[in-house]
Amino acid sequence: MYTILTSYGWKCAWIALFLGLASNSTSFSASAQTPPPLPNAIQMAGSSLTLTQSVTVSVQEINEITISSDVSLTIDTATPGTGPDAANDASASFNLTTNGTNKKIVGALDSNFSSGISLKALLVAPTGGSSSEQTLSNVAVDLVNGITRTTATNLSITYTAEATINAAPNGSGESRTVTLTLMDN
Amino acid sequence: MEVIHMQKLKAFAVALVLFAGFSNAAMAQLASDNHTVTVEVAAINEIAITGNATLTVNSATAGSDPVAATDNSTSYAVTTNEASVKITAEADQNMPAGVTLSVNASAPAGAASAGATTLSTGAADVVTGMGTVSQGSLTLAYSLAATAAAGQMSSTAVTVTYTITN
Repeated sequence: MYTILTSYGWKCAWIALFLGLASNSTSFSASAQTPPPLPNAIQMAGSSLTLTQSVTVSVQEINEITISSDVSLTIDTATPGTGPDAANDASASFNLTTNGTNKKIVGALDSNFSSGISLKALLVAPTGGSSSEQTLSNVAVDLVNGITRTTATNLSITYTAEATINAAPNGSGESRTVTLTLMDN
Repeated sequence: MEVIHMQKLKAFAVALVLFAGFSNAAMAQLASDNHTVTVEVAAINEIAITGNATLTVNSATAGSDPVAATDNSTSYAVTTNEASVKITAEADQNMPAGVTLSVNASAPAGAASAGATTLSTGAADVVTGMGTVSQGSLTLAYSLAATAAAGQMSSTAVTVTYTITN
């Protein structure tokens, strides 16, 4: 009996094993076994599967402005019989980027100069914009208008310093912070 | 057991939702930068003289020394932004004995003229108390006097130098 079970049994077991493997596998003979489905996977009804994903992108308003360097002006000459000559400097420049429309640049001092001293600024406008020379003070004033969707580099800033005859010599000079702001018109 | 044959898995289709333009709810961004601007006002003293003077002593009243010659044709312009300065005048040569060259410089507003001042090789104040002024067409009145004892003097060019100083 043991011998019969052993020989016949083993044969049956082997066959059963073979059939079982065959029935449980998607493809046993030639193809690789398909992995079990992922958790929460959509069961395929056909031979293809399409999924969609929502990706949100946006372009925000960008306004950037930088100024190149500090500036020094010295008023030290005059024609006899007239007031001091103005001093000019065009060494500074600015860069800007905006993807907005109808922007402007305003300029202001952190505080006014002493009585008798004034500072004017003239900015070169980027393409499509316009500019005019303005006297700077602690109240912001429009320097460039009509700026729309542009990038520009090395746009010149020309400063003109003036002093009346009553403006006393001030040693090494008075320093003020000039702030340029790119903003909505 | 249902056999799921997955021969091919299609790639995920990505739906792009592009928001062109700008969000209506977004506030306009301010961008700014700053730099330092220094303005120095130096001490300014400028003087300019217009014209040259010619003085000829050539007449006298009998019994008196020659009549002094005068010239009021020249003028000067001045600019100063300092509080208290003066103008001095100095000749490059002294007159011979008996001959006197003098100048009376008109003073600009706020200053005082020293009146007729004899010119020599030493600087002499002609205007004092001058401060923060710019003014032109200020008369320089020259006078040349000679005594009879001085004799004659050939035509001589005298250089007069005016200086603004503290």
